[in-house]
Amino acid sequence: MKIAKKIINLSILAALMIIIAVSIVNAANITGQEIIDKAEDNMDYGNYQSQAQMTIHTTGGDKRELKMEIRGEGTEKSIMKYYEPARIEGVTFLFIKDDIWSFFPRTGRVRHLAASTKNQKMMGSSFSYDDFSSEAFEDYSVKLIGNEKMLGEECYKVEGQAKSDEAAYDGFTAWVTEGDFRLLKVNYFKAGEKIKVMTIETFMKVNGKLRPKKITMKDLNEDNQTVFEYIEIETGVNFRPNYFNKRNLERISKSQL
Amino acid sequence: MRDKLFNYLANTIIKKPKTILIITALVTIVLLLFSFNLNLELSWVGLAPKGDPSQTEFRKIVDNYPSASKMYVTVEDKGGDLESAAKIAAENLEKLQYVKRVDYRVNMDYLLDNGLLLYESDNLNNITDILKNPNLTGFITNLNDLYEKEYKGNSSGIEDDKQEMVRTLRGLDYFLQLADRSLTQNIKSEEMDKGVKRLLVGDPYLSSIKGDTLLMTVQPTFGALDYNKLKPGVGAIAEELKKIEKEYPGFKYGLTGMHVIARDEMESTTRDSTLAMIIGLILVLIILIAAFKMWLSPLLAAVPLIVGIIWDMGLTSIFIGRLNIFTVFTAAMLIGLGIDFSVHILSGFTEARSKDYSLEDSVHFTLEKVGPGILTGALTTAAAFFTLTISSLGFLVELGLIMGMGILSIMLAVFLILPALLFLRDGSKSSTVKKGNYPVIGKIAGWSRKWRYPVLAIVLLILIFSAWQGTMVDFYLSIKKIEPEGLESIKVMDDIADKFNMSNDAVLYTTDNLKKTYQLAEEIKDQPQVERVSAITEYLPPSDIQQQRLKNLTAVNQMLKRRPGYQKTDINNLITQLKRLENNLIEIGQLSYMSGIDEVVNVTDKITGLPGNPGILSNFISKLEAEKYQQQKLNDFVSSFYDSFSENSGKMEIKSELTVNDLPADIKSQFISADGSSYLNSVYAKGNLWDRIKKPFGSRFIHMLREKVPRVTGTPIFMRVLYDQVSKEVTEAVFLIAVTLLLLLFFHFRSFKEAFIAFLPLISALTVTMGLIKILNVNLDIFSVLAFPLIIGIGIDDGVHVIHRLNISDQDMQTVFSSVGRAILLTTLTTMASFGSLMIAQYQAIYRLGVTLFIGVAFCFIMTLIIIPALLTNKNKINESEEN
Repeated sequence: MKIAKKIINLSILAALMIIIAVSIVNAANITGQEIIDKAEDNMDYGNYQSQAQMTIHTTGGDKRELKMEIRGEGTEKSIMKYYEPARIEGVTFLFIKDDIWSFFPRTGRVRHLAASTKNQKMMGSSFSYDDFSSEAFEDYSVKLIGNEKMLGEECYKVEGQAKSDEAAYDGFTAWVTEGDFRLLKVNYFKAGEKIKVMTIETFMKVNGKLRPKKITMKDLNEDNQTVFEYIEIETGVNFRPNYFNKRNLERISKSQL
Repeated sequence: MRDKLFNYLANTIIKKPKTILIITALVTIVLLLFSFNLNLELSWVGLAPKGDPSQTEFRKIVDNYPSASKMYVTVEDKGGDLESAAKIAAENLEKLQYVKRVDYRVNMDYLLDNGLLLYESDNLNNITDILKNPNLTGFITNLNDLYEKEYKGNSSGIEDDKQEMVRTLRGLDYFLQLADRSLTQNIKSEEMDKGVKRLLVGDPYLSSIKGDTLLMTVQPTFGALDYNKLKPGVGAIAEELKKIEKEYPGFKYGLTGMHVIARDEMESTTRDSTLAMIIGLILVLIILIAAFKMWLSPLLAAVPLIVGIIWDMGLTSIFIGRLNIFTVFTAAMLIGLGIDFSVHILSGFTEARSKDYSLEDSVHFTLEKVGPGILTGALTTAAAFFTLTISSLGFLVELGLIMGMGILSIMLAVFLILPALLFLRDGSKSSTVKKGNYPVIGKIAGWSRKWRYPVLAIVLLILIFSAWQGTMVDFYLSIKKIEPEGLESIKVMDDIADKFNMSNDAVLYTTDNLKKTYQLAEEIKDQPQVERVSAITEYLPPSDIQQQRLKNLTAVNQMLKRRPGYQKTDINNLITQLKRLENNLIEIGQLSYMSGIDEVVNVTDKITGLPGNPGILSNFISKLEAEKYQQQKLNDFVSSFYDSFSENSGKMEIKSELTVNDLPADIKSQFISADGSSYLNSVYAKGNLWDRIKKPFGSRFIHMLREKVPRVTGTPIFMRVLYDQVSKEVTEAVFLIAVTLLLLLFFHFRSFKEAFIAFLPLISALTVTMGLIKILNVNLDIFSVLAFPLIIGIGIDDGVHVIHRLNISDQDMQTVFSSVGRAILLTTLTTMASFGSLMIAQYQAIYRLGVTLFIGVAFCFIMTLIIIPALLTNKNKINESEEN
């Protein structure tokens, strides 16, 4: 009986050791591309609706808090409706790939805006449209360059180099947590200079997974920063077919949150 | 050799004291006369590194471009009539003898006549589109088409064009007010002409983001480096503005610019340095009187000090010719350093007299026993200062020379004058000689020796903590943290940066041909840190660009000739187009609000209003819809618009290339050098450059400009170059001074161990000082960092005197410290008093220098008292001490 117990214990121990060894080997073999892919997966909410706020600095030196409701389907379609401050309440944007439409309740007009380019600033913020894309790192060849502690967590340090001139930046360095592949910080480079720093310091649990809650983007060239924060987020939302359509903009703008 | 020298000096003083005094008096008079020729050059220019292109370029610009160094006047009016407030100020200021010209609006006629040639090809289509129809409804339709084509809700497009857009929208606002008034009043043709010009060229004023402040420039008849005229000139302009404010209580003006700041700096430094010198001298005398418990001797001690400073100023006048912002404080600093020599002589003399030595023996004792220590101390301190002359920074070289010469002059004056005065005074009148020892200092030294291991451990802990704190010290670079506190000119400068989102401290460079001027301006204005580039090519593009634009203008010129005739206004059509305009502007305003482009938001709000609070355009539309107008007046207005628009837009037809001769005088004087050979360009940073000068923003702005134009100049450049150079050179200077001193100490003591031990208290004091200036939130700047080489030069004396006395004395350590400790305590207190007096300065950098020196010198004494006894004892009593 005692021998049997010992054998069972030894088997459990051996199994554990094998699992740990396999994990270590796998961890050691992970590539920079895999790390950044997993980090990107973590940023993809699927079908979701959320409330968020963005704090920008105006040219007059004031801080301005803009609150918005965002709904998204996959990575290519989203709708953003401002609800605070009152003077822009109901202004709604529809993003489908690179195309943008807007609806202004004060004028009652739907406008097709100029198509956004990747490195164009998003609504005067320090973020570019590309920074908010869930495929933000697709234009880069990524490699793992080491492990480093960042914001108190053990992280993979990966480096990305632009594959072509189409990329928004020449390159980046990113820190991704070792355990659950959360992106914590990204330094963006252009012409050999660090031009932007994105940090994600707070996370919230969405469907059992930690997702970014507060994202800060510092623009070092303009000495400006924008803070984007999710107030709440709900995933797995079913939108009716053709919901993300310019014909719906007015209705969405007037609908209650 | 040294002993013989001091013996000879003592004999000469005893034999011919009065002759020595007469000779020194004559030398003093001659050098005093020389010192009257000293120039006070209290500007930042003199502080730039030797041979740095920014310095030569600045002088070239000041000499060749009268408009380069202009003053800025901010104009406000409680009643909102900024135009009148600016106009009245300009008219009054131009009457002053110190003012050459005042500018507060762009040259509308030139822009109207040649505007089409000044537009970049990309924008040319936009402006020509709105010229196609001179009828009011047609014009508004074309304007709507333009807005809908160009700003399809694209906030980036608005941000890129924001300056042009704000100017145009302000022009539109002015015109709409005129249109609104036309419904009930007759509009004169001149008024219509003004309104149409603003539609075509935009708002002619440089207005703040909120539109509540105008900026005007004053070109004085004197330069910013013309020190003699700064005070009366700037004073007269400031006085005139105050007079207008009194006459028109709603008006408010602010004055700033290089001249004004230079005037304020000059007044501040002169006041601060004089006050610091007087307070320092009084404090030093009080300390000496209290220490020696006699009146006359301390006063006598001050005589060679003052004489030495006069000699130094005379020599400075001969060899350097000027005092700069920093060296103007050398007299105050020399008091603290130079009085030490007198204190040592006085201490030696009173000590000798207390031992009942005769007068002659006392002179011999003083010079032969105390003299060598003073000589070594003075030579090491002077050597430390002279080491600064290898620096590439002009002001450090001057500081090194003036302080080095000052130390040697005072030392010589002390050796020659003080023993002679003491000898004469004691010979004529017997005095009560006080005790020359401070036993408490001896006791502390003895205690430190006894408990040396715990004492050294505690010192080590303090040093580690201080070093840790020291690593967090802030190094200020912004002139807001360096200049005198509370200066009105700096406040106005700050105000401009906040209100106009633009730094008025322009960075300047010159170019010698239009093509290069154009290329550089285009490259620089695309940089993210740049708000505006002011270059002559805004008014006179290079020939190839003009030719290219002229080709595109052929069709425009033809269009201008084929425009439709006057059409009777269809009111419904007009209302439709006005509503469309309102919608376009609402959308542009909302996009700008979401993007934080406040200047656009402010003007669109004014035109379209907000829900519940209609703007001028909404009111105009409402009146038309409600038919609250007289048809004839509206017809007259529309017809008058057609005439004026046809005439003024017709002027925009371009036939030939522009040349320099076509430029009006105001533009020429703004950009072209006096000899016509080169052009002046000004670059204005976005926002408040001084608040961000050390951040990547400031650093990239400066380095980007220096890379593109190596000779770029201006205060921000000087400060950044100074910062880069000072950061590099102070470390080198500290290292060089330390090595020089160590070598001198080695030659003096003939022992590495003693040289090193004499040096240890100094290193410890520097470390504690770094820690304390962080803890006290004093921090550092490009001036106060110089306290460190100074502390080395000054603080080394304490250790030198102690070890020197330990070596020659046969008394136990406690007694030696009681005796020499008194002298070094007094010298420390006097030095602290004189440097401490710098703390009264309004000049923040000088205040910081005072605090740093005060702490540094105090800790040199404290560390000497604690560390040296713990590590060393007097050779002659070594066995006895060890046994004890």
